[in-house]
This record gives sequence, C-alpha cells and structure tokens, in this order.
Amino acid sequence: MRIDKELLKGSTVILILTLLDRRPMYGYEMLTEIEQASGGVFQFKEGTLYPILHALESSGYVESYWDRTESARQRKYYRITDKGRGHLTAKRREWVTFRSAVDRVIGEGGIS
Amino acid sequence: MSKQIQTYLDTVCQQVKYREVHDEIRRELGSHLEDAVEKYTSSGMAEADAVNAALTDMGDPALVGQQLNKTHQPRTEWGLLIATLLFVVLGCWAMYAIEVGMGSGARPGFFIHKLLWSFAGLAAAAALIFVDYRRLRRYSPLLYAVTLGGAALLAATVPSLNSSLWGISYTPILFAVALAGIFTDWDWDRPHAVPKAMGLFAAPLLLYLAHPAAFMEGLEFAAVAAILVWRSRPHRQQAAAMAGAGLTVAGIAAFRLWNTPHMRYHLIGALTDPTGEGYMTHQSLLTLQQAGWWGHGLAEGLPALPGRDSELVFTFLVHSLGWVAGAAICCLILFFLRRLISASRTVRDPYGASLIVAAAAIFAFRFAWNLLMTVGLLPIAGVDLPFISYGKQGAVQLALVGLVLGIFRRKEIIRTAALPQ
Repeated sequence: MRIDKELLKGSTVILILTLLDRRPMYGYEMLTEIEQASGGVFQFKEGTLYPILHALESSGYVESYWDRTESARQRKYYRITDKGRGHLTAKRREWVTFRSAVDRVIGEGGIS
Repeated sequence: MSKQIQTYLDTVCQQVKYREVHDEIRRELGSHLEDAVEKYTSSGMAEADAVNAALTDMGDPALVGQQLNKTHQPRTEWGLLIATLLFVVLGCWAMYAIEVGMGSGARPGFFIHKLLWSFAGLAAAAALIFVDYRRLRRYSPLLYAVTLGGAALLAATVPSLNSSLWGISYTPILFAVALAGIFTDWDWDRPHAVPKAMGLFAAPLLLYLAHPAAFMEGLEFAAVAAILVWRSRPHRQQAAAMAGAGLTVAGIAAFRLWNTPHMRYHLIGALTDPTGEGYMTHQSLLTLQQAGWWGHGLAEGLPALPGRDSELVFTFLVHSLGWVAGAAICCLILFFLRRLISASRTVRDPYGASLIVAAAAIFAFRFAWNLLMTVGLLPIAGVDLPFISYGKQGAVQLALVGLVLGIFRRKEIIRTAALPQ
C-alpha cells in the first residue's frame, strides 16, 4: 500500500532518530531497516533521506563520521547525540498524543 | 563508478551552491548507490538494469540537490553581531560624553579617535568574516615564533624592568590564535609530548613574569593557554603532571610576590587604602554609589574620576546612565559570552571551535577583571573594558569577533567529518 507522502514527511525524523538511538548506521542501512521493520509499508525516494540527515546534523541531533567496514568501502555513519535523544523523546510524546487523538476521532464511530 | 552514476551525482551537485561540500556529497551518495546496485545484481539483475533501478529509487537528482543545498548555507550569529555593535555604540557614546563633560580647554579627540579606531576594527572584522580561517592554521607555529621573538625583543630593548612595554597587550591574542592551531590534533602519544607542551606554555609566561608591567598579560596568557591545552585532551596522567607543575610554579610565584613588600603593599593597599594605592578603586565605588537608578546624564564629565575613558569606563557609564543601565550592560556582556560559548559548541571543525574558545577565554578574562576592578573586588590593573574603552585594543578585539563570525559562517559549508585512514 502506498502511503501518502505528506503523512510520511512528518514522521521520517522520528523513524531515523529511533533507529540511531539503537546504534549508529549509514544511510543505506537505515533505509533497509525502515523497510524491513515497517513490513514494506515505508518505501520512499531514497535520495530524500540525505537532506534530512544533513539537516539533523546541522541542528545538532546527530553527528557523522566516516568509517571503513569489512568490505573496505568507506561509509558515512551517523550517530545520535544527547540533544537528539531529547528531541526524540519530545517527538515520541507528540506522536502518542497525535495518534490517540486520531484514534479517538476515528474510533468513536464518527466516520464510517 | 559508472558514467550514469557520475552524471547523476553531477546533477545533484549542480544544485548545491557551495563547492566545498560537493566532494563529501558525492562520496556519500555514491557509496549508497554502489550498495543499491550490488543489492540488485546479487539478486540476478544485469549491471545496466541494476544501475537504472538504483537511480530510479534514489529519485530526481535536481530535487535531492536542491534540498541538500538548503542545509549547506552560510550562517550568521546574529546575537554576537548585534551585541558587538551595541558595545561599539556604547563606547563611542561614552567617549563623546567624556569630551562634552570636559568643556573647552580639554584634550580633544576622545570621540573622534574612538570613532576612527571603531571603524578600523569593524572594517577588519568585515574582511575576516569572508576569509577562510582554515588558511591561518598552517601559520600557527610561525605566528607563535614571531610573537615570542617580538615580545622578547620588546623586553630586551626597554630601558628598565619597570617601564611599560608598548604593544605587549596585543600578544596574548596572538599567542592564543597560534596555540589554538598548534594544539588542534596535538598527538599526546608521541615521545616528549608533555615537555614540548610545557615548553610552549612556559616560554611566553617566563617573559611576561620577568616584567612587572606585563603581569596581567601573563595571567591572561596562562588562563587561555591552559584552556587550549586542556581542550586537546591529554591523558589523565599527563594532565595531572602538567597541572601539578603549573600549580607549583604558580605557588612559588605567589609566595615570592607576597614576600616582596612593595608588591604586597600595592595589592593590599589597592583594596583598602582610599587615599594611596586604592584611590582609583575608592573613587570608582563612590561614583557608583552616587549614580542612582537612572544616572546623571551627559552633563557631568566626571573630571575627578581617573581612568574614566579606560579602566573605569563602566563606572562612568553607570554614573551617566544609572544602575538599571549598568545591570543591562552586564546582561549584554553575559549574553555575548554565552553566544561565544554556544558557537564554539555548534562549530564541528576542531580548529574553528578552538579559535572560538580562545576568543571566549580572552573576552571573559578581560570583561570579568575589568568589572570586578570597578567594584573593588580586584586591584586596578590596566585591564580595559573590551570594545568600550578608549584605545586601539578595541580594534583588535573587533577583528577577533570578525574571525569568530567567519568561522561560524562556514560551519555548514565545509567538510568536517574526517576520512578514515
């Protein structure tokens, strides 16, 4: 099922920060994780991930470093910062509020 | 890497105005595309089809480039800029008021000189904002050597140990800029790292301490240098060794100072004797007390207040504008220092961050000492209020702010993540 782009835009930051909260990752790795973890629901134009990552770094929520893995390919890793963790907590709270509000409106038999 | 991928990356980079980040973008996106192609080919797809698929998944290159461009733009630290300009205005106003208050038969030129030096400083600052500060780094050892040599020459050619050293008050800033460069990426694991660091620290300090006139510069240098060395992250034992050595020397110096009757008298007298050594402090405190909430305005030039254009300019301002204004000026100073410190944290380049920390240390030292002098908590010691006092120092300080603004400006448009070895 194709998810509306607008819905996706708002939650991409929370998805990325949640992943990085677990461990540092590089861009391609993040995309693969999101696709797997969401059961294939979230697939978006891969290129748009990088402007978001760069903007997150500019805001101080993540920091990047280049590293070499076993395959000897240089990859740019991102890790979350303390400021990023704080932002993630705030965004999570926001999401829960939003989600329960929508559930309440939809669930209360308002629109069928 | 395939030609198609190269073309894709070129299109992305065309949208990104600042070329410095192009290399990093190409590497990052290129690495991603290689991973994507590999995933397709490993599941049986032909190379050419895999490349097409990967590029399609990536999306419109122009769009990606435009979005990247939004992040990689120059930044302005408005807080620092506005605070600095306010300081300059305050300084010019103060000099004007002093001149007006002097009436006729006064030594002319406070105001016009202050204006001229302020313009010179602002011009230097404007130029430094657009210079790439990283070019400075390779000259750091040279700057250190020249400054040390110059200071030594100054000290050697002066007639007596007690005469003043022209130009010595500019040397702490120069040493600070040089040491910021030297101690970025200082390898504490290489042999003799500690003696070398201590040598760099000790040489200027010995020079300063040999001349009573340069004592304050020595203190300032010690504070800033210690901060820069500490920032370069020595190992714990090394840090302990250096701190131990430093404190021992400081202890010996303080002991000797205390046991020189002349110096001890000066120190105690400065804080307690209102008619002798402590005259300036006493006058400052009296004047502050008489200021009132809203001050006495422009009219009173306060001829009785010594150093009202230099060390005690804050007292003069409070007397003219009132206690409320004095508190506001203090808030502005704290705001300025806080912006400097947070700028040093958001700049990711270690050299740039160190330069900003050095500037913050210098300004903090001078603002703090001057204000504490004004209220009698520290002896009067020839430390002027940055930007506001009369003199050429203000121009150099403005240039330093320009350097900081230039560093901040570039923080999103230079590559900061080091490549693996």
